[in-house]
Amino acid sequence: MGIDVEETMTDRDFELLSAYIDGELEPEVAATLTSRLAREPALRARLAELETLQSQLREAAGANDTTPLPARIRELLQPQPTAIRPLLHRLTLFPGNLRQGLAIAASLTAVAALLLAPRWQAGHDIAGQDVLLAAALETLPSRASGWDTLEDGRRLRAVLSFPNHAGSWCREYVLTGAGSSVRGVACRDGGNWTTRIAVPHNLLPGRDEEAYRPASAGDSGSIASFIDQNAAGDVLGAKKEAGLITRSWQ
Amino acid sequence: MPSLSTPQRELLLAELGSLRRFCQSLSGSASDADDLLQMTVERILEKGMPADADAVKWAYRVCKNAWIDELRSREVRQRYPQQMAWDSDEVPSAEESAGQERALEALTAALGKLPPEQRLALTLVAVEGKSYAEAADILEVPVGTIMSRIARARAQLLKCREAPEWE
Repeated sequence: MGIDVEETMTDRDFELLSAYIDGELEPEVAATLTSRLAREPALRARLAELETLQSQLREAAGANDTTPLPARIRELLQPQPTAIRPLLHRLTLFPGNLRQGLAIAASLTAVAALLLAPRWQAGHDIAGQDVLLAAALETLPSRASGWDTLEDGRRLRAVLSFPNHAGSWCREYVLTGAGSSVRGVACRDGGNWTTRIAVPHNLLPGRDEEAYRPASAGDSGSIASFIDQNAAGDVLGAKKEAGLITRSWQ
Repeated sequence: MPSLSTPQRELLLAELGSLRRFCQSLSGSASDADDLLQMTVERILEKGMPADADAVKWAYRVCKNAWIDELRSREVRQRYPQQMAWDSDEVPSAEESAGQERALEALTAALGKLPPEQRLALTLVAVEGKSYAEAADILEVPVGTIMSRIARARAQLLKCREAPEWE
């Protein structure tokens, strides 16, 4: 049988008891309350009820602790690797789309063919698919300056993201390594990032290393034209792009 | 705002169990708790976190806001009054353990009837073991407010506890 708090103690007393079991009372206040508890049965009874309630609260909350955390939630928080690893499983999941991607790749300009030079072969997989670049475009946000380093040592700056008329997401990027640099646009089709256009990009030592140059500047005119012709909407803001990366661009 | 650093991700991974318990206390069911936890993690990943933020406190704040948003949008609390009405047809066969189970269910239901701000404060302190100062930091209110909210929450739960279904 419970005790009527209002008849036997004040709200302040109850608040003190509550803070007492939480260990939040100043030592002198706690000492005074302890003395009162020794001579006031109603106070003691209320404290006992609060302690029972406390253990029930913890028991109720812990009832689900034996169930493993859903893997999908843990996976969301897995630390991102500092070096980007290829998502080969994505490529093998979509063999049909990969073939389609290769067909598109075959139609690239002669300039783009230069990008597939043997010196970067380490980052390429099946018939020239740049799996390291694809993995990086899948997972890294755009940045105005600085670089992300791929596993083979090349450096990437994803510049911006936009939707195209076919309903795919596309990303402009700058990729540099082994003494040369390219600026390109890749689009995501069937889970694969395929370069649609790429042109040599002249880095200005000491300047371009960290500066963002828009696609319309200098040697990037063809990239700007490509974006103008293919973009079906505005460039994504950082927040929306981050959301798409989290959801694997879905 | 920057995305999560690896140390922040690791801290959150280590805290997921406690966060889930917090979600369980707030939502009142295991499945809703996992949904709330996932929503929390997704929000954190989407919006990022300042480099100097306390990842754990930040996560509790995001979780609290996600839960309040959920309460507002779905009017979750309206579901709980039905749970409070004990169905006398559901008398378990093993009376003692069933009585204990019923008490916990009644407690969960009573928690669901508390005003959100009281429930948040009580859960952080009584279940998660946060200090009043930590809870005040997470909920962005003075320590004195935490103290009074928790006391009011406990008083309300004890009143419910005196109801017949709790015995």
